Amino acid sequence: MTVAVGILSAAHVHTDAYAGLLTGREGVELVGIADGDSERGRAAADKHDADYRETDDLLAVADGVVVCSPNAAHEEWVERAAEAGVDVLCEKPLAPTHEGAGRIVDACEDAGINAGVCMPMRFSPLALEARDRYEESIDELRFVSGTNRGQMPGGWFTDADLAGGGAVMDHTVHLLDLVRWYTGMEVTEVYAETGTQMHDIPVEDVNVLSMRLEDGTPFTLDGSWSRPDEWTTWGDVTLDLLGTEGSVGFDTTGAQLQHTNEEDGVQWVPYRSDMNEGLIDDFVAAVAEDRNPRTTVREAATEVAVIEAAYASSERGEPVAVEY
Amino acid sequence: MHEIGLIGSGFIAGSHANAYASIDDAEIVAIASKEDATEFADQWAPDAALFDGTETLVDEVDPDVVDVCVPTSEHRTVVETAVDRGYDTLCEKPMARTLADAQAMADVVEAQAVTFMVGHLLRFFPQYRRTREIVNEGGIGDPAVVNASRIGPYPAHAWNNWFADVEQSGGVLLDLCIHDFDYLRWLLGDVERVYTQSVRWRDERKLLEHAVVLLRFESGAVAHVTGSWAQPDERPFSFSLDVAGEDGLVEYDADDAASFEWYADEERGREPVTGIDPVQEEIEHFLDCVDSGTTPDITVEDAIEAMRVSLAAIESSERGEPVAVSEVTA
Repeated sequence: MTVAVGILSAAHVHTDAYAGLLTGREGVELVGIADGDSERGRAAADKHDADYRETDDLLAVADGVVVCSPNAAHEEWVERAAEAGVDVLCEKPLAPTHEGAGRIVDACEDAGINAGVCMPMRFSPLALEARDRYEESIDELRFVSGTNRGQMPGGWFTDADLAGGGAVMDHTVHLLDLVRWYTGMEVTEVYAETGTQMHDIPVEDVNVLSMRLEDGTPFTLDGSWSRPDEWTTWGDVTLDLLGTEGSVGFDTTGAQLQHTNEEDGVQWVPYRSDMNEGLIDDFVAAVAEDRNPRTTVREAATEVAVIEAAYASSERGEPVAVEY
Repeated sequence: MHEIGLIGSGFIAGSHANAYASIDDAEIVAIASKEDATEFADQWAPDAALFDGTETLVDEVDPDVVDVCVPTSEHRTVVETAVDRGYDTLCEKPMARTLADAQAMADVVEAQAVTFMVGHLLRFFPQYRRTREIVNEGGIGDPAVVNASRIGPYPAHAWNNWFADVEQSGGVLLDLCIHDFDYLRWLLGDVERVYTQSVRWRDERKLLEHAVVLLRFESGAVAHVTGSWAQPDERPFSFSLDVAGEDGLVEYDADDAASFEWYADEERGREPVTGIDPVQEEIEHFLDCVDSGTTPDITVEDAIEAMRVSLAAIESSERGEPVAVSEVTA
């Protein structure tokens, strides 16, 4: 069977990568791109020799859609897909507010569609190896620390109305999702130090969190937009898990070649498999097998609750309990 | 020639003795130690006179300088003994176990007008100095967010295993993280508040402790500082520094910077080789100040302020809430 997948909104920087992966792969066909901004949508469609379609037309032919809109528009796009009975893979974070995320979960579950969010780290070979080693060698977890420091993305990512916030909104969930996945525990409390200090933008670029998991284990995270534009890659994902009998950690910037040329200067080039490939393959398989993608919208909604607590902590200057 | 009275014969005393061996105008003339220091003296200073206490050492030998390498909780007694008699004194970090001890030491230093310095070693590491130069030259704009880490297994090499006794050492937050606290104060200025999460457990004679402190500086900068004595013994000690500013970034990671490695028989090594021994740099700076009568770059106030950050961090870990450094008083 060939799974028909469409893209709803081409606003997100990942649209191009997903469209590329949906084209020329066995078992899947990119059946079109819809966008509230028809010019943007057409440009994205043309680039991948796909059809630009009106949303209803696309939903009529698609088995699944990838939602690549700004965060604030996720709800609207996902609800339309759910009404049409089309499965969904939505960009992260699921929504700017926990309440909004909850409405998305309800819409998906009421419609009975399969729905998940884009959490490519769950397909990273490093993260998968760390998960295996964590299960094998860490009985008693004592401390978790990670970094997800990136370049400032610009565009709608710095528009509070469209993104819902800055670095806290953008760079908290990747590691949060991995840690939840590894440990099976939720974050119960968040302390946040945030600020706008590196860029002339209306949202925060400093995002340093000190959280607590259900069993009291500390989990700290630097998810700041603190890598310069001139840095050799988009950013890093590092994680260290410390247990009483050992420690496990990875650093995505380690698995790269250093490539130098006249045009781009020095760049790091990942040499392991593209984790977006795993993400898209999983979604296509989920649609075909009538199951949810690896990270479900219900899980993603809990992650938005942590983001909300981080903003509350930053405002109040104290640790804040996460309300799920 | 500076005649040195070395107090202590443990691990740090060894690193100081090793540095003195390369300093032409300094010589260890006496060693005071609670333990039999014959073997230590044979290795480092065969001609040194041996004593079992600071008081007898200074009274009998009258050295030029006293160098204090004893457990933190004993700093006050030893420093007071030496400074009260007018000796210029170099003291290992942290300055003291409690702020009251540190304040008493500061008082006697001021009264005797001696040269006194606490050895915050990181200030003499070339990679940390160069980072600060880059920042001060405007190379990254205003610093905004810093990651600093110091991670390794429990330091089992200490005399009498004193690190495991929190009453003596203060644990990771006072003994280990203070390296980065002092350096970051030097780099970024005063700290407004800290928030700490730490875990601690014991395994036989080991105190396994891991802590992360978030610091907010008065400049607005934020730092994430990690200190660990809780890594598996197989994991080599490592440290890193990452300073991101509005216009750039400076990164250092000792793991990546292992510019030199060797393998021979049972021995092996992998480390950055800089041609500089930071301990020697530290001692030479102190001796220069003794000669010139100038105040060391690490002032008594600096040493106390670094301690206050550590003590605020400890208090935060106990209270589970952010603590303003200004709240920490003797």
